[in-house]
Amino acid sequence: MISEPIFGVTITLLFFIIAIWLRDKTKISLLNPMLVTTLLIISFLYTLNIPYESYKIGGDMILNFLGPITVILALPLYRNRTKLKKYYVSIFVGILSGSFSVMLTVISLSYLLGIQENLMPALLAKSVTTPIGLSISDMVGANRAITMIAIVFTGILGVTVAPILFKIFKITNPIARGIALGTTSHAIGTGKAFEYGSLEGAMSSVSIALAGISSIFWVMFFQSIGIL
Amino acid sequence: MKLFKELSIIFSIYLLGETIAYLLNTSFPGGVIGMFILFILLYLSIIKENQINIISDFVLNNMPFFFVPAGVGIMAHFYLLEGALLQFSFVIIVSTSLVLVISGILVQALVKKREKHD
Repeated sequence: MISEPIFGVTITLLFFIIAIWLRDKTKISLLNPMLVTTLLIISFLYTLNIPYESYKIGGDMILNFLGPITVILALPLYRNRTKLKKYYVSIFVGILSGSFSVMLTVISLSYLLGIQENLMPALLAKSVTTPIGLSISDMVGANRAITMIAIVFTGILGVTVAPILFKIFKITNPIARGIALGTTSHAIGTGKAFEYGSLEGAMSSVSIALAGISSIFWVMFFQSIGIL
Repeated sequence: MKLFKELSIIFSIYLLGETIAYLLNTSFPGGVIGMFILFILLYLSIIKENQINIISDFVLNNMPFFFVPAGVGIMAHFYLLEGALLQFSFVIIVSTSLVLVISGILVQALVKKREKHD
């Protein structure tokens, strides 16, 4: 049974349903569905002594949809087109500098702390929404699983520290809050942004796709000058 | 039939994006090129929102599901993190906080400057 491709698909479905149920039931934001589903599947496979390779056959089927999903990210952008037009200067400056800061801090901190060269690239995509983040991971030759861990950790961390940092640094403007959350913490940050208000949410939504594109450009830039 | 049509539109645009990436011989992801194409087609009303909305909203609302398998891969690759977990987490914590503050302050300053102008 475990050699069937549908096996991996089925347990992903079942544990995802459980994870969503847990989140809706408890309303604890730390119970991120992606994280919970992943941990449940890993524990399940470990407990029953099922090799990762058996899961991977079905898992890879699901991952094949990564590309088409990226295409769909155009829709939130289109739905917010009037706000995109209205605030384009703030949006573009905020996102371009935000994703540039990600690259700069990751490269310099990794260098200072002596993080291995095979690990640093996985951190570059940490603020990018997963479908685009995994593309960036492939571009820089990073490990996809570690990239995912970095992306989820960044998302959760961002929404946890955002209220405190917004207070300390007196960031009260809705546009600024939305862009900061979306550029730093992608879809997880956007969930938080909608709690603040609809303008925050819309700004964060457009930041998801745009921060992804901007990160790709920065990666290509750093690659062309030989830093990556 | 509507779902089949929606899927055909999205998959075709994705494949078009991949083809363009291949022809341009670029490492720029084909999916993101597809995203540009879909945005333009929607903007020019060549494709209407209601021609792709059912699949799109389903995917947008359940996105985490599609990436779980990438996360489960950590089972086979956790050894890469061993011995570096502390540094790895430190980079994420410092970098994430800095980026949040930098982009927030910058945008807020820009918005205030514009409002003064108006």
